Amino acid sequence: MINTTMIKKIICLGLVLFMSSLYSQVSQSDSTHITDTHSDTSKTNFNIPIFNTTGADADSDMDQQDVASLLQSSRDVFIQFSSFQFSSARYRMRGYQTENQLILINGINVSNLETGAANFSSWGGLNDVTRFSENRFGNTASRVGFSGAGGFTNMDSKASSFRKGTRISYGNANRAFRNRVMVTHSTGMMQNGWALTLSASSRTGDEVYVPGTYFRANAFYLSLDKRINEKHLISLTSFVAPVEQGRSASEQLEAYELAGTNYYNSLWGYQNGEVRNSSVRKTSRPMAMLSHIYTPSLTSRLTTSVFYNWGKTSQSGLNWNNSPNPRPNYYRYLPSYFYNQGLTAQGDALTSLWQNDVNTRQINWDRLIAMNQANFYTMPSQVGQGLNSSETRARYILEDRVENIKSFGFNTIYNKRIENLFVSAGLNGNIFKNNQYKTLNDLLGATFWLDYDQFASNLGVDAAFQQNDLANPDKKIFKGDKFGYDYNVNINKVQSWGQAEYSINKFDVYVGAEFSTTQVWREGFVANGKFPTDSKGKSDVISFVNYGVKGGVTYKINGRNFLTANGSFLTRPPEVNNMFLSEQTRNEATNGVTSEQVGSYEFSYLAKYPGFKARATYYNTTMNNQSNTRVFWHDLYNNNVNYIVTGLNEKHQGVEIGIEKTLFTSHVIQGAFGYGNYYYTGNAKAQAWQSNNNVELYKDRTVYLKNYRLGGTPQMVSGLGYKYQGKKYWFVSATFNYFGEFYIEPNPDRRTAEALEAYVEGDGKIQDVIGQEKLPDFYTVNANAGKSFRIKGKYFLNFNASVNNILNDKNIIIWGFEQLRWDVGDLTKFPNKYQYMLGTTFMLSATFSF
Amino acid sequence: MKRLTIFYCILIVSTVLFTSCKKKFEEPEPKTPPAVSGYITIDSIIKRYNTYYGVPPNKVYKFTDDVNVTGIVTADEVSGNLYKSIFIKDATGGIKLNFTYAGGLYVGDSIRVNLKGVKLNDYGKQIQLDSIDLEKSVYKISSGTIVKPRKVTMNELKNINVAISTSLITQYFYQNELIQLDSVEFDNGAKNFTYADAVGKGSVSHVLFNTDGAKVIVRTSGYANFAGALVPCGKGSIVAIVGQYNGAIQLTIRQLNEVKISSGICPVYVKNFNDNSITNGGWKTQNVLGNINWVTSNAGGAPNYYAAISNYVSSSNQACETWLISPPFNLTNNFNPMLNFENAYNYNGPALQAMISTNYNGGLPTTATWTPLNYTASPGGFAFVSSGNISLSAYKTNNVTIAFKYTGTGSSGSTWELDNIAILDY
Repeated sequence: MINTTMIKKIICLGLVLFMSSLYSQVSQSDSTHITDTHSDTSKTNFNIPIFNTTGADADSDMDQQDVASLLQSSRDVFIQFSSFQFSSARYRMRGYQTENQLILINGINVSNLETGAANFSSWGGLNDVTRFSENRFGNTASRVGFSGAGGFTNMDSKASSFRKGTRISYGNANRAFRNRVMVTHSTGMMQNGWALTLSASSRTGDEVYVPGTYFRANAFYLSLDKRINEKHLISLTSFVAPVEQGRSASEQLEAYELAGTNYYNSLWGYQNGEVRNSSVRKTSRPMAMLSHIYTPSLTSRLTTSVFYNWGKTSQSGLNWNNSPNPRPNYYRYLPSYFYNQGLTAQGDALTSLWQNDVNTRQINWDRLIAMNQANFYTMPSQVGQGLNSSETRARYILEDRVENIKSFGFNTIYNKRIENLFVSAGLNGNIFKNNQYKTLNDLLGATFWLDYDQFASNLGVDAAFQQNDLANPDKKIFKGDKFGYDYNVNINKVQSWGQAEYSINKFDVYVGAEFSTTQVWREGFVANGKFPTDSKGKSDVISFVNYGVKGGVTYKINGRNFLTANGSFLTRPPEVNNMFLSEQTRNEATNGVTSEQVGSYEFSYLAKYPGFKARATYYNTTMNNQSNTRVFWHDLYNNNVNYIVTGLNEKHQGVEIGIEKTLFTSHVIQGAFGYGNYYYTGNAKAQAWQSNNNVELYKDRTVYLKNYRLGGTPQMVSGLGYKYQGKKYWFVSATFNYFGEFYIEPNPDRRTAEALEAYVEGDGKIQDVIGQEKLPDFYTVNANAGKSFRIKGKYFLNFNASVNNILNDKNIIIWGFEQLRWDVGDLTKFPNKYQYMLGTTFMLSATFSF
Repeated sequence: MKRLTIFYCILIVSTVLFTSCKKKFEEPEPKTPPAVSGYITIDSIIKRYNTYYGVPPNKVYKFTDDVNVTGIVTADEVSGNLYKSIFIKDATGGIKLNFTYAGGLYVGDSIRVNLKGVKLNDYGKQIQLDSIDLEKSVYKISSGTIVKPRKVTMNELKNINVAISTSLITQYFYQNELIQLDSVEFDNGAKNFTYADAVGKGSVSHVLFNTDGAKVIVRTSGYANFAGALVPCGKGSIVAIVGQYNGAIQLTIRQLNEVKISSGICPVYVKNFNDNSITNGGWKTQNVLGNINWVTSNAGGAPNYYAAISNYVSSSNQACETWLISPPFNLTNNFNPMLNFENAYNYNGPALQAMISTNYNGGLPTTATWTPLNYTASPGGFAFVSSGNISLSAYKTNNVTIAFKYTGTGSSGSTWELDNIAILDY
């Protein structure tokens, strides 16, 4: 028997482990606002595909390192295919970004207020405690919060919800990680009213598939519930998932060809003979939630929670000053740059180097260090005070772009059943702060770095211009120091919502509504030399008042056949980085950025027979008045440009069909088919600002986007699966998947009248500039097998194996984008970049539970 | 019970496992500096150029041995006026270094350059070391040396260094060195010219001259951070690197703050009477009535001469109308021409009138149309005041004449004094 002392011990141990994990990791992640000042390609602002959840996140232009952590345990065939089969091709259901889906843990909205999207890596690896979720896709009723077009997922991870038992599992894979260990123990609700669940996991791997990458993720989870009496339950849930990940990037075809592999990764190189990745993302964002669940009667429940989510994410990257670009894939370092100028000899020489010299192909860390160590530098103010042959100024550094959030909130949900009526209502509030700054990660052998904006030094002769911090001019930056920029994004949000569901004979109907107010402001902590009066201090508060309504009806033809119609309309604030002209440097707000509007409706037919189920859905969603801000190097202006597109209108419409048929009790055949049409319904407006200057380059420029397809996801998917269910707890299954209608997202700057000024009407090259690239169709074959053993009646041993892309097709492009930097005269200079699906990958796992 | 113990063990073991491995990188030892095997001075490099190119060769000279040159950086790329190149000097002279890529060397750095593989050639007869790989061939020894420009005159710049000049090149003294010229002026000062074409990124030359009329070229790149700054007017000093382009001396400015020449509104013409002459420079007087005339004077302890007129002759006032008339000015190329003069008066009488005409062709002023100009007049008591800047932008023609009309009556008349009559522009 377990006595109370024992429980105390468990709690202590758990807390110690949990707390130590918080402090042992000085790491962080999830940065949607990272702008790389040197980036040729800029920030690609794409979110996690819905259901393809991940250890990476939002603005990553890469997928190889994504790690499915939320396995959607939906019974819907189409959703199953989307989660387990289509996701490896970056399929996003209905083309939605993650912010369209409401993600909750214990009823608490865990989306980041700044981006509107949840960061799944925050609980990555905690599969055992997040797998039991209620999720419904599309327009739907929700008793835990107001959801819109994308539906909702609510993970119930309270200790009292888990059955008593222990589960230990080991996995071996050749994907993002090599080894995975997960351990979970639950006491279940004990007789003394306590319930405790502890879970921990580790996922690690070095260069498992893609060279230069690595993955180190731990996760710790603790939940403690106390049932005070029949009516009151107190629940504490807390978790942290520190992740450190060396990343890979999309590359242009030329680089893949030169390197001889479609998994070429330009982000790493050798330092002292060891592989080092320049792009490391670290995340550690603990979450703690305390809930009181009050059940006054069998038909009503009041859940009140407070939560605190805090911690850092950081993304490392190279920065340099007054030196050649250190990236091996810089366009001037590629043979094509010389071939295009007719310099065949240089091109050939470079080709040979690319093929034979790893230090040409990858970052040459030793060279960067040598260049730093040789760069003696005397501060202008100290010239003449003796020769300096010891202090060196860094020409290259590795910097961390840090986001440090503090998010505090409360959440109340009330549910009540009155005969055929079920009423739900809620009120929640959230105070969110995100402190964003850069710190110096590695001086690469130099003594210091100077806090200058190297692009501003060309702007004029005023020496103050280049100072990133006017209060500390010519500041020397050492390891760990903050520099560059330092500001807070503050968001306060209050939301109330309500819903009523009513059932009568053949009909289920519901209506819901939501109302929220949001205040956003920026607060700068340093005065920047370029914007001395507008960079420090608080900006004006930008306010949004938003609302949403939804409703739906289910017609029960009979107990087996159903027809449903659902719809919703809501408004929401845009992403915060669209609200300011240049968040990093100044308080000035962007003109014309107002709430987005999302309207959606769908009709479904569902059949549920023993041995047969099917769903067919037509959906139609419009997302209007969206905006998008990017920073990139503009060749024409010879400067970094903040490029803001407003008035983006999209339509997502299509059909989804999922069918499952069981034959002779042990043979299951599944089919899924989705055909969508996701496109821009109108032209947008672009404005461009020089990022280190208050110069408006232009405004209200029409971007002819109408009828361009949205990129980033295949719009046609289909899958056929077969599963054999053996009598002695084993199964084997195989799936064939086919993908099509996969487009490359258009670069808005190329779809303007100004971009075509250089061409005469009818010039064939016009099509090269404005045409949209469609990626080739492709298919994959995947297989799964599993076997369970029951030992001595109480121990369970379970083996699972899954193999993806059995045909080992390494030429499947699953991601591509047009570089924002482009040359009117020569499109080949900055060609599209792509990413390939991994070849055959496997995951083997063994789980022991008792 | 037992189950929990197992659980602890697993948890502890796995926690230890998880918190391991944090990647650390050792930094390599500093790269071996380029080989040292011998040194060469800058003047011997010039001689080597002469020797090699003295017989027309069929290819560019390339150093093949591990010879080194050391020097102090005298001009760097910080302002953008130099790109992928710097200047160094040693005890024997200066030379330009061209790199395969930009950056990393600053004024005051002491460097050693291993010349193996480096090309020795010229551009417009300016000898240079070319195609230097900054990373492989350049070794920085220290930084922070004070680099002071050598004060020279323009004529000294043009002295040919006979010892190392050949029929191939004319090598001047101070070639590739940092110099300072004092009391020099831009030809194009105050005419709204910029140093270079900051928009089209083109290089632009401007003429710099001294009081003796000697001239050199100042050439500036459109990529310099001061390319868009206006060429200033007036006299002052300039610090620059001396180069040449096919025999013509050409200066390269390092930073804008090393051009210490005043700027803003500048006189494009001044009549200051310091030469004790009313008529020098094409000025004349005209008597419409009477015979009172303008004279120069330095009465009242003035440091130099000014113009003066008075109708009080032999203890009585005499009726008169006397004009002081300028030579014709062509203001068509000016941007914002203005008139400015200093004036003073004493005693009661009609005011002095400042007049302007665009159709005066000599002779009596009555043959032309005159417009009076408003100006700030002296309060009296011989106190000199400035007239203020009187805009002439309405008179941007090629035949503008300024005149001062003095009037006296038989019973009254003031004494008027004028000085520093200037046409300004900016």
